[in-house]
Amino acid sequence: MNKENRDAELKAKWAAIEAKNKKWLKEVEGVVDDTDAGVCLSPQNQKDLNKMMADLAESAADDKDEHDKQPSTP
Amino acid sequence: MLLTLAQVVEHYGETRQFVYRQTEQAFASLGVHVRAISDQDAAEADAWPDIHGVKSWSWQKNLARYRREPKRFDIAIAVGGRLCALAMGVPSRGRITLKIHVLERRPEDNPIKGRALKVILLAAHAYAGMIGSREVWLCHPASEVLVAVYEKLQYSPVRDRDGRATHLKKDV
Repeated sequence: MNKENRDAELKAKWAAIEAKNKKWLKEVEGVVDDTDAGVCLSPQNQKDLNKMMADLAESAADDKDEHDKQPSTP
Repeated sequence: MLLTLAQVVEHYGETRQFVYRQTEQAFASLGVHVRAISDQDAAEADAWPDIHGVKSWSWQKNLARYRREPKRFDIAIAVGGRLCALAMGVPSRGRITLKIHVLERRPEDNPIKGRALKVILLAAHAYAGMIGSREVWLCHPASEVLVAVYEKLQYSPVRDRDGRATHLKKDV
């Protein structure tokens, strides 16, 4: 796919999701995270860490499947 | 259509760059610069103080591992050259779910205090939508106080038998 087609593809996908994202931003406009937390999401124990590593392994396995598919196809 | 690994890497890399640019535009009023996490960002975040004693994660140690995943979501937010927040995750097999694994904000002197989450979450949802995911998960929240914040941002908590929120989810 050349650059022009790729840009057009990205813009078309963006247009499809932009309205939904704008609606969400509007709905949560007044929500401010007033906590002083630095760490927001982080593994809390070994089990969490194991899950994260399993997710990474799953993603790596998925990469192998990608080679014979269009990556934009769910 | 057959794609080489290099093409897959390029495809998702371009998608992330596009999302970074669009997110910058959406939050132009905050003056945010949105980019991939650099080695320098990882080192800086590791040096941030651990106010609540919950820091169990080294960005520097783990960044290389995530960088090996072409479909990863990684994001660093800076304002005026100052790193303010960063996050990282990967989609599930088949890209059904984009799982955000880690998210951290500069705890002190953060010019986008209170708004950093929205910037990251908008980018995460945009990326998830662009790659065909149906849900975004916020994995292992650091506290119940934060769970309440995510709920205000329309995420639904999923709890284990002990009542602990393992993650929160929201449709793309």
